Order: sequence, then structure tokens, then C-alpha cells
Amino acid sequence: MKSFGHKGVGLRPPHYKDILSNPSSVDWCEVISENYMDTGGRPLSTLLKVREMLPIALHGVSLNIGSSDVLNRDYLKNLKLLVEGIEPFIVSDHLCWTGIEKRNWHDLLPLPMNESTVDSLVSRIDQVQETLGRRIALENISTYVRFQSDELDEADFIRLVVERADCDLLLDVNNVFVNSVNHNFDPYEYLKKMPADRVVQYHLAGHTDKGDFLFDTHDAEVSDPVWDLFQFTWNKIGARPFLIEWDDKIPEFERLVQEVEKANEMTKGLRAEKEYAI
Amino acid sequence: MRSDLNYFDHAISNFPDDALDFLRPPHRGDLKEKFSIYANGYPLRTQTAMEEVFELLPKLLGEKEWHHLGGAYVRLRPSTSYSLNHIGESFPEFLSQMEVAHRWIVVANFELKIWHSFHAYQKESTLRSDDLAHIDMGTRFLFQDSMFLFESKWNAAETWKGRNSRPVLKNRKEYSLIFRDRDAVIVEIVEKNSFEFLTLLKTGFTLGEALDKNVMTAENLSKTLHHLISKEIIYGI
Repeated sequence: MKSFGHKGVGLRPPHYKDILSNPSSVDWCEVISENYMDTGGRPLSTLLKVREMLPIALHGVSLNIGSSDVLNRDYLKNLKLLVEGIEPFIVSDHLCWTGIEKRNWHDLLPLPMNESTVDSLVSRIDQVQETLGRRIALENISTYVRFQSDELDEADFIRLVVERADCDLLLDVNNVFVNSVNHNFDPYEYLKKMPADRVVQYHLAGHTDKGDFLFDTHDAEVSDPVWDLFQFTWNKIGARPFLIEWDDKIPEFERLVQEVEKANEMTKGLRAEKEYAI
Repeated sequence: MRSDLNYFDHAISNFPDDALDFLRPPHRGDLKEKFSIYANGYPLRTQTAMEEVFELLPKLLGEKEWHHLGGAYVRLRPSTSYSLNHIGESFPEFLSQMEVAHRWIVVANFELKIWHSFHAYQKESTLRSDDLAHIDMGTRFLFQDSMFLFESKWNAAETWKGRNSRPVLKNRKEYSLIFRDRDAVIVEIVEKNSFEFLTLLKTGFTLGEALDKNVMTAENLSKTLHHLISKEIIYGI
């Protein structure tokens, strides 16, 4: 078993050179799985080089776990190949759907939060975990609308899914805050309901205030209320690998690392840190 | 559950015309504005992904025409792939159906070849320069999947190479060789004679058969084979 620190970044092409020349600036990297599937070009060769130096988490955006379509076998086959090649310490995707009837909107779309959706998710997550031969983690997404057919609040919905499906949870603290504003709930009460033993990773990101709602844009620094929530989460749930997602208006690598260091500083003096083992 | 997802899917396609009564009224703000994040996200994301595949074409078409054609494409041919990497695959064929000027179809096809070369899996080459001595008239060559030959009545390759200045497409016959040198895609403009020779070899003809159909000087032949081996455009014989 090897262990490593908590500080991670989402690896994006503008930072390939930076991470290769200075891998010790972070403890691990997360990559978007689909960008490294079906390619033998620069993205994959870079990822393989980074993998020699740092642990990698694979984070997908097109598993489409919440859809009513049958699971895409080609997708799972290619994801499994990538998992076998990279040996990531976490394989994750989102608790959402991305399309039906074979269309892909390439977006993280909200699910109706009710028992029927939970049943469907549990069965599909089981198929995915069976195919990959390992647990996956699913991330709570930011949303802007709710369904009339919702029967559960978001925290209960997530808890039910991860416990019944026996999967892990990637807790995006920014998304909790965004949704708390967009759907008018207390984010601290939400976090108290999260099953700590299922949480394997944290995401942090910036958002944009659109007046009537918050938009999860990943194009700015982390906001103060999200830092507060992050500290609360660290105390309540514990030390986990965390990363800053910065996908638009991507800054210089140094600026991104500063934000990661800021997060790291915030965890000091909080609950005793534990190293995460792989 | 299925009906909720169907309503949602339909509302994205038909935005802003569908009623959104399957969704709850928000506690503040306008539901349609919030739903527009989903409805408007798809064209934005796919257009951005298209511009990663087609770097030159938007510059030649101009912003207005590019957005018109690109917008129509992503609307009329919704993505069915799990990856935005595949978004441009049928764009040249779509342009043909739209009856746009042939030169734009040529450029789209050329850029798609560049894209395929960039993403192709490279095989480890077993050849060294000394292997030239072992090549005889019966030799067949194994080419990397990243190698493409492109012939056109328009100077797509030359224009693509100058895409970061002010590219101008000219009606000029052109033959080009596309391959990958490590992670970088390289485009070389070649003579007609070399192009036809390489086409024969890539199609599976032996060296002798290719030379029968396409006469080359000994010097040119040696230079071409050395290039193919040193750049690992061929990975085996």
C-alpha cells in the first residue's frame, strides 16, 4: 500500500507541461475519462507520463448512469481498458443522466429524486461495478431545476443511492452550496446527512452569481461560503483527497496550485489528518 | 421516470417552445431562464468541441457562416457519442448535403484527417535505418494508422500550415502526406510522383509492383524510404 497527500488538481491540456516539469507541486491528478478513451495521441501519452509520477483519479462525464437507455457497452468496455491501463485510485462519474434514445447532450442533467429513480440507479450502478470489477464513486451535481415528481430531498436521495448501490460518493462542496442557494436549503444540514464512510474525495470549484441563481461555471476561485463549507465538511466527514476544478478561463498553473495550497492551509488545525491509502 | 426524462429531453430540443410543467416552479427567479442553461449548453459545448477539430475552416468561412453551418450541424445531427472527440466525424458529409462550395468540404475532410492522425494509436516500430539493406522488390510495408495521404484541387495543406496567419485557400492542385512525429501531427506537401508511389505502397502493393507503376529515381527512392523509416511512418515490413 502506498499513501499520498490530499492535494489534487484536474489535469487539463494547458497544464500538461507544468505538471510534467513540476509533479511535486500536487499529490495527485484527476482527469476526464472520456478525453483519454479512443485516443492514442498526445492526451494519452501525457497521461501515461503523469501516471508514472502521480496517482490518478478517473472522472467521467458520460456514464449516463441515470438514463433510461440501456448502459452503453462500448463505453464500459473502453472505460475498463483505460482503468486497466492507468490503475486509478478512484473511478468516478456523476449522479445524473446525459441523454436518452442514444442522444448525448454532453451535460450533467438532473434526475427526478424519487424511489423509482433510486431503484433504477441501484441496478445500473451494480452493472457498472460488476463490469469494472471495482467500486465507483458518484458525484453530487449542481442543478437549476427540480422535477414535480421529486419525493426525496437531495441529501436523502444521494444517501439512499450510495448505500443501496454500495458505491462511493465524490462530494462536490461547491455543488452543495450552489444547490442550497438554487433550491433554498441549508447546506450544513445537507452535509450532516452525507454518509461519511462512503465519501472518498472532495471537489472544490468556483461559480458565478447570476442574480436569481448560482451557475456552476468552474471559471473562478472558490468563494468564501464554499471555503466555510469545506472546513465544516473536513471536520464532519474527515480528511479526503480534494481538488480544485477550474475548467473555463483556466489560469496559469501557479495560480491553480495557489488555490490548492489555500485549501490545504484551511484543513490544518482541523480534525487530525489521515493519509489516504491506495 | 422515463416520462420525466423524455419531457426534459424534448424540452431541450424544442426550447423555448415546450411547456415546462413537469418541473417545479423555482423558489425565486424564472424557470425558463434556468432551463435555458441546459437548452443553450449543448450548442455552446459542441461548437467549442467542433472548433478543436476544425481550426482552419472557421477562419476561412468567417464567424457568421461558420456559426450558421456548425450550429445547423449540431442541431440536425445530435451527438450520439459518449465523447465530444467524435463530434466532427460526419461534418464533411453534412456539408455535402448542405450543398456548400466544394472547397469547404475539402478543407473539412483535410482537418478531419489531421484529427484522426492526432488521435491514432501508434505502433512501436521495429525498423532501423540499417533495415534499408533488407528491403527488396517483394517487400510490403506496414504503415501507422496516423499516416494519411491527401489529394485535392485546393491547397488545403499549405493553407492549414499557415492557419495562424491570414489563411487564403487557392485553387491549386496539391498532394500531401500527414503523419505523426511523437505527439505532433506533421503535414508535408509532396510531389505527385511520390504521392502516387506512397499510395501504392499503402494500398498493399510490393515495392517492385509500386515501382513498375510509378518510376522513381534511385536517389528519390532511397530518400523516401529513409524518411518513412526514420519518422516511423512505417513500423514494419
